[in-house]
Amino acid sequence: MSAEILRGKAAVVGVAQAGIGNHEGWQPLELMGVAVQRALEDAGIGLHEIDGLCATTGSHYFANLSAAEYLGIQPSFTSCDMNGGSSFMSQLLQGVMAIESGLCKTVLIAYGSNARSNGGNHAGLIETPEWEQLYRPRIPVTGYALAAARHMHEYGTTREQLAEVVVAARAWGAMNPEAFVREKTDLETVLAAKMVSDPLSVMDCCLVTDGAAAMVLVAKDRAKEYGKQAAYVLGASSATTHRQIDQMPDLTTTAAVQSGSRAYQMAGVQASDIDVIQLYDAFSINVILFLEDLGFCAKGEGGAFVSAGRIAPGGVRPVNTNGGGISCVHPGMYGLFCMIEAVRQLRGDCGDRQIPSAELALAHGNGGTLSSQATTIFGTEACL
Amino acid sequence: MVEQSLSGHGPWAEYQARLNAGQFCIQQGGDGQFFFYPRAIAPGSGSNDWQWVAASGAASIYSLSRIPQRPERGGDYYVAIVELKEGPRMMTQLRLQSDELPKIGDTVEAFVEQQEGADALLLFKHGLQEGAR
Repeated sequence: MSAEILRGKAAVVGVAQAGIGNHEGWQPLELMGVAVQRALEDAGIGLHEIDGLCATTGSHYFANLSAAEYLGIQPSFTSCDMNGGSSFMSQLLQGVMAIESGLCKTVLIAYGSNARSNGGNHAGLIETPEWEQLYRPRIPVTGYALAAARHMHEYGTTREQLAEVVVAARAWGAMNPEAFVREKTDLETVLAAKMVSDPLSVMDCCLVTDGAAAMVLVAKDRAKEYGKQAAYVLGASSATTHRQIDQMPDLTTTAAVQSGSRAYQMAGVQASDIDVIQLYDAFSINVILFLEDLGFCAKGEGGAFVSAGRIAPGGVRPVNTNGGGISCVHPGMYGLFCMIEAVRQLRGDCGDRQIPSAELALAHGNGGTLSSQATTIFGTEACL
Repeated sequence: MVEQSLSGHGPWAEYQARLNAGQFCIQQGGDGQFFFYPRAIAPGSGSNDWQWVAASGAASIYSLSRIPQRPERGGDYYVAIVELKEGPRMMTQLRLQSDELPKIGDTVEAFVEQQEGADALLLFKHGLQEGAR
């Protein structure tokens, strides 16, 4: 038996986001609750049907217990897989497994955070690795800065190329009514921004916002009963190489190489088949690393790949059409928002930023300091 | 394989005790591979066959980030990942010994900074003149 048996066995039938921005006075579970209600409505499914739960916040150690109680449900399957921002991609795969194995029928993946209105408090970052904290890195920025510096050293990647990622993200964000930052920017402005941890400036960093999201997953044979057009889960895989950045085997190559190749294998597709690319852009360097590691270009060519507006609106290879963590939303963990944009593109729901004839979408998650990588691939019914 | 004794303290505390005594030690597995940070079993092999060895202190900069900081708070500082001559990598802070700015690939050398009322800290010097080492 191989993982390919899971291909297309479950589908996303409802998605929603809520509270993107600054919502002082709202707690994480309250924002999550609003997103859950909207996702259930989007799917046309009742809360009583939720028997599988994957809940995450930045502030609850027992997030599934807190969320199940809050929602007033008693699920027969729960998973709190916690790998940082990529957790939701892992949870999606576990949801598919749970449904396929008969542990439950309807899985809710939900997230809520008030990281911005609560003063930028990312509880997940409190567990600063004990060795590294002795040396006062700006966590998590310095970890990514070290990866960027090494990539620049080995491949000649430039700060201008990093800035291209930011300019593209902001241009997409300007087209997304839900994005927190909706003003475009230019290379000059990005390059002049205040340095936080060289070579990354404050504009190379994702936002800190509030935000909640929810996604409803059912078996393939139930997908047409609910919601709008279903997005089928064709492939998914997670991989990890380290927790602390100094333990990463190669600072220029992430575990996305493994998660990506396994997800492609499960889905039976390759990078060139993908219509929609959503990559977890906690920092500008992430997009360059993941484009390389997921096979959209060769190692070392990510900088050139993102240049001259190629991943921006109107470019040949649109990336992060919602504006990503840099321009749309990043409440500490972005993975669920990343998958939701992939699903919305497949539904054709994206208005001005819609990619024409989108059939296959990849949403890639990152957690820790490039520590966890998790790739998901969704397709329309035509891809089954 | 000999069963690992739980008497005394764990490897991390032992590492720190040695550092507090002025000695920078790392672990070497029975297969000859060095590893750092301190662990109860060797990463990858899972073996408890390892021993403490004095580290050479010789290293090179694998990656580097300058962190801006106001002069009144001590000025900019450099966080680096250095690669020990023995192989393992570690995060550290550099102490510049000259006007030469550090860059990836440069040679650095470990030293133990004793701190009053706190554990000793392992740091690396950059910009040492040949012969001064």
